[in-house]
Amino acid sequence: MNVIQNLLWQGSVNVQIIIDSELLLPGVPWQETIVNLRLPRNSYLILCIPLILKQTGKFLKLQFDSNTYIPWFEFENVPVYWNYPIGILFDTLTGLDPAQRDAKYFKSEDMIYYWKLQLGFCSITDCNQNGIIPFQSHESNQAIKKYWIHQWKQACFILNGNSKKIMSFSNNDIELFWQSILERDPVKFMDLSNKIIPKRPHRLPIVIYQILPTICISNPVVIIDNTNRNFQTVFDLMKREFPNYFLNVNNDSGTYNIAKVISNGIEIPLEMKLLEFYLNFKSMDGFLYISLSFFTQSN
Amino acid sequence: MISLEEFESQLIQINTNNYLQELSLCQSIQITQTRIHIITDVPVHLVSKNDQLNSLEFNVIYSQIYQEPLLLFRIWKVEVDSEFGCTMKTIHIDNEIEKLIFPETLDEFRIGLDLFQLDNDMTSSSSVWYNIHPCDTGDIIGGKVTENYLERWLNIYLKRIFSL
Repeated sequence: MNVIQNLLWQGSVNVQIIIDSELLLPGVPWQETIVNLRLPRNSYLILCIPLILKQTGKFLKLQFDSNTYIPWFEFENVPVYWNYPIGILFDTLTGLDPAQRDAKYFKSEDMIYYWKLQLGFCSITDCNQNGIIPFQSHESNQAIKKYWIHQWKQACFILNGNSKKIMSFSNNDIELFWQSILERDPVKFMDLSNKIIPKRPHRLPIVIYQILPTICISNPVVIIDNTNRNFQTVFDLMKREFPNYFLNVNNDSGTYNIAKVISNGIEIPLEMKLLEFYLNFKSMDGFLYISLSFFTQSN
Repeated sequence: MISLEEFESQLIQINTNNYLQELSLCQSIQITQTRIHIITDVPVHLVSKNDQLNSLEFNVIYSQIYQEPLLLFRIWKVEVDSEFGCTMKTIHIDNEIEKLIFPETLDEFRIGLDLFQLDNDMTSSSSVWYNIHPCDTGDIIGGKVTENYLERWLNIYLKRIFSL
């Protein structure tokens, strides 16, 4: 694991969970049920649901092991899709602009910035209408593990042209791989992920998540041209996918881009090579997640 | 593997030759330029496992990732709402979906639950569907993509797995 990968692996987000007040027993002040967590960017929100419910379950009207109601998070009335890594959800839903972050949020060393999320419960039908994959709270760990394995199968297929590398993992390998995420063990994670990721990938597994003008999550087809790999940059991809947002590699020529490329909370230089971008910034499910941050008038 | 152009061309062929007209238990079929949408009654072998199940809904779409047809499905069930005394149709989510769907003889398929945006329309929202993992599709179907690949795929993924 190189320096960049190590720093990204350690990236975290401060999260404050507030329980929907309608779910609390009468007389329980909502302030009593606040849960503050520092969560790794490279992890899943639902992994902390058992901890949240352990701390707040006694204040809730509902039985949290109920099969009828599904836990879900929302941010400013927008559903938070638990099947994506925490980092990309935070970057996209808050419209994070790293250049503005320090000036806006860290005015003093004594201040801490946190992402405030509300935890609620909904029926399976409501989940579906809001685009949330339903899962039972007492089986949240298994649900996300199963989803994560499917993500790796897809990533493996895109990278290699087939899923044989991950399909040849034993159950023990899969368990060790998953434990490396739960235990935050970068060495174990890299050992196993390197068995899947080839030196000369066929294609790159990339997800672009944008919230404006509407929520849109896309999987662009990114073919690596091994005969001319120096040609493909972040700008090449962005220009192809969003020709109206990205006009130039830099803003020196008089026409201006209206969006920035953000990954793991960092603004990515448009001239960066796509393969280098993928290898350093990929997430723990084999995909590279990108969010778009739009320039404001003050920019 | 099949290209998007070939997939869309074979969709037209399926529509023209009425290949799905004889699908058993079928309530409705809609074939568009990009996908097939089907609603059927529930086959007996599934009702025998869960008598609340009411109907099956399918979408056959093209997977850009796998460059294969992809079968999405949802199972609808009918429940009585004890509070209001009315019946409600809801999606059935099953933690052991493979055991419910597959006959014991079919153990090479895996099912995932994921979000899909069915139309490439920026304004359409994602919805939740079960999908049959397509990573070994080419080996399972066999033969050349130009020779009724989609018909052969439908025969296995829709008719054989779901006994339709």
